[in-house]
Amino acid sequence: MILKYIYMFFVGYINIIVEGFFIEKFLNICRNRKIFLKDLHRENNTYIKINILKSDFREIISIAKKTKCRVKINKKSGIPFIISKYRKRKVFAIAVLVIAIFIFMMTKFIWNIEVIGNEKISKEEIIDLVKMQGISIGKFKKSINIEEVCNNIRIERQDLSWIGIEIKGTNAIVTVEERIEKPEIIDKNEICNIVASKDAIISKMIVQSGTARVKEGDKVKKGDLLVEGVMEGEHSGIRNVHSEANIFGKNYFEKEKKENFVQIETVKTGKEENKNEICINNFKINLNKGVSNFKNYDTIVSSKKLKLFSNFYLPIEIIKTTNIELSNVQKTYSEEELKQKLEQELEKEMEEEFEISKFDDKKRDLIITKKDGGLRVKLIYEIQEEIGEKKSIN
Amino acid sequence: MRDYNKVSKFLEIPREVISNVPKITITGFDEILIENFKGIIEYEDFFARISTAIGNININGFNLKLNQMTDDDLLVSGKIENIDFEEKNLK
Repeated sequence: MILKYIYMFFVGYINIIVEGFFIEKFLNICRNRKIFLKDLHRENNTYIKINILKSDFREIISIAKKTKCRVKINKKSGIPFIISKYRKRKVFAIAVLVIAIFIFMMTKFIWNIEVIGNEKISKEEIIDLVKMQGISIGKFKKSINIEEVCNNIRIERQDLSWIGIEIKGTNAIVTVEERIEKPEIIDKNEICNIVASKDAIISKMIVQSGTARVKEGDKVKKGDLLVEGVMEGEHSGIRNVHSEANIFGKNYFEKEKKENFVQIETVKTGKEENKNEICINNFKINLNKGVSNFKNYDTIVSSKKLKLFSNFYLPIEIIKTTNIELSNVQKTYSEEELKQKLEQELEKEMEEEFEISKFDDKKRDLIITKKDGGLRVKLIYEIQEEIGEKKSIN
Repeated sequence: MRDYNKVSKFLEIPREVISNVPKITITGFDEILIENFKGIIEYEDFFARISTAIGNININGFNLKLNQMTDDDLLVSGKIENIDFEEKNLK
């Protein structure tokens, strides 16, 4: 039943009122001419409501004339009538077509480059690299030969072991695999020295073969000779050997911080204001004008690329600037609180600077001195690690 | 009846397909489907008289609607009170 209505909707149907005395005759003639009638309803003695298809309307009128009935159109519905309603709005139809073509054309270009898998090499560098080979934002997709680009880059760059480019929609995904430098392996029989791999104070030495040239407690610099591949024997004289030794060096990392018990802190008041900017291929349009209303504020800038669906990036970027109001509040710390706070801060900073957690063998020392209305906290790490590095004599 | 011979009986072809005998299907008390009808003699809100090859069908009820009318079947819906048949005298 519902399928029939869908069919009628596509073809277009008219609800008519047939008025007259010979309605049965009218219906029988319709039946004989195989006209499709739907939802006949006689509301009154003299008239009947019928749904007919748009294409049968002419025939219906001729039948009505024959049976001396009057036909009135009650309602027109269906797609053909909707189209004819908008027939005069040609500009609208053309605009829809133009936009459709425009969007279709836009899919033929690259609007975004994504880089995956880079650690040491920056994203910008890879994008530049790809750009040199002809893949850049706004490039026509068909003009790109991915295989050639990949091969060229692989030849050019030694620090990349693999590069792959995939074009998905308007998005070019560059997948990069960086080369890990292999350590120089020296053969057991080859004659070699041991040198320092970094600056340190020597704390422990275990020499298995070779002659030590430094003592425990000596300060060494990177590249200094530690163990020479030479053995002196009473009878055999001097001979060159493959030196083997474990040499440990100490290093100190320290950091100091000083703060008062009474501090002025900046606190967010919770007020925010947003400013938007539209950026179309480096052409910026400011939507909100003027300077910020706040006296004291932090600014956060975030940008977002517009995309249709999941992979179809448009060359439009929305830059959102959020200003967060700040106010100054006086705060008094107790000694314990301040100590903890400074310690945590120092810990965090040192982790960022020296990557302390990487080392296994470490000692930690905290020196706290109280000074007029404040605390001075010093955090010292003593780290012991192996610093010996084999180096071939030749 | 005369068209319904032994061959079609053997092949179990439905009667309404090979002859112009109407097939009347009543669903519930509110829907009647008449296949192989000839024409509408009378149609009112409360009464419908439909002619077929072997006689007339009278339907009494309220709010009768002819839901669908094509050249060989007719769907009458509404509150149906009674149905009766007037058999034509066939020679």
